Amino acid sequence: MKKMIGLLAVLFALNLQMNAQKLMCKDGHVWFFGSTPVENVEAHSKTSSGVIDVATGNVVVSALLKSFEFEKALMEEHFNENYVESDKFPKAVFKGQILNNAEVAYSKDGKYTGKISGDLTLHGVTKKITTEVIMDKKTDVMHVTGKFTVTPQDFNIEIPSLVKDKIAKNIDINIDMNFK
Amino acid sequence: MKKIHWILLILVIGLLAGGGIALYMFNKPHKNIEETKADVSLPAQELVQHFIDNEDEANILYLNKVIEVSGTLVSIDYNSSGKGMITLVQQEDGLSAAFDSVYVVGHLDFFRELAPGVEVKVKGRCDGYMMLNGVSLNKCSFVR
Repeated sequence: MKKMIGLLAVLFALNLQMNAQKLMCKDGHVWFFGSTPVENVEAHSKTSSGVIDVATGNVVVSALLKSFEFEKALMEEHFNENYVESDKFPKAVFKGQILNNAEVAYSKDGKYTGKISGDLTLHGVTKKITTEVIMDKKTDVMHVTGKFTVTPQDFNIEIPSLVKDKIAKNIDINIDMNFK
Repeated sequence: MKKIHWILLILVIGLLAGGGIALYMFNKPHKNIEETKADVSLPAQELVQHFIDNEDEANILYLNKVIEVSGTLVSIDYNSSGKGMITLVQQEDGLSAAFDSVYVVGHLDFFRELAPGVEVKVKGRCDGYMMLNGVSLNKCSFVR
């Protein structure tokens, strides 16, 4: 019986530790920005999710394409229907790893540069992304910010020649997420 | 009036109308989900189960639809920009309903009374299903 209780206590402690090793975010801010001489286009999603596995440095970030808000309703419609085809491909998912995870002391406050490499899947196409993020740990929150650049062509997003000048060739994707 | 004048007048009116429609389309307002009648109403648990069982099929049924769900509140969070998010069904991979800060500010009394275990009825646009958040409803409002 004593052994049983001991075993249970160990299992319980392990379980607690395992739970504590996953940092999560449900209301991440992901936005993109593209500028052309004609106009700037930006759109924001504030309901993106993310999980960091503290032990391995594995990272998953998901964003639903319909959650991106544009200033103009018409742009939002075109983005969903003509470009990312969000009915067919509802989400963008990044799966990667913090390469220098060992350097990040998750248990205490501090600021780190995380080197991240992984696969971004969008519009049915998966592409390798390598970037750096700022990881700022304060009390119980890990604040992660970062930026990388993609092109619509990378993800087979066709831009009709008629509006080619109005859509930026390079799109900056920004993230700002609080992991707890 | 001469015939040519009539033609010119019609042309001008046509151009103005066309321009007006184009301008309206370009500046048309975002859909107000709060004032839109729900396409479907069901228990949150059932909606989540649809997505778990067959995500592709559920996407066809629910994506971009205005959905009214009822369920037990699991948790509530506010972010730094004042947006609110409630979780129903279960903490992970359940249902997340996001409220714009303008809505939260306008209904503070109601939000103050929210606590885990309370039964709520929420209406919002279904953006899809993803890891952690589960079924994601956006632009939400409470149905009372």
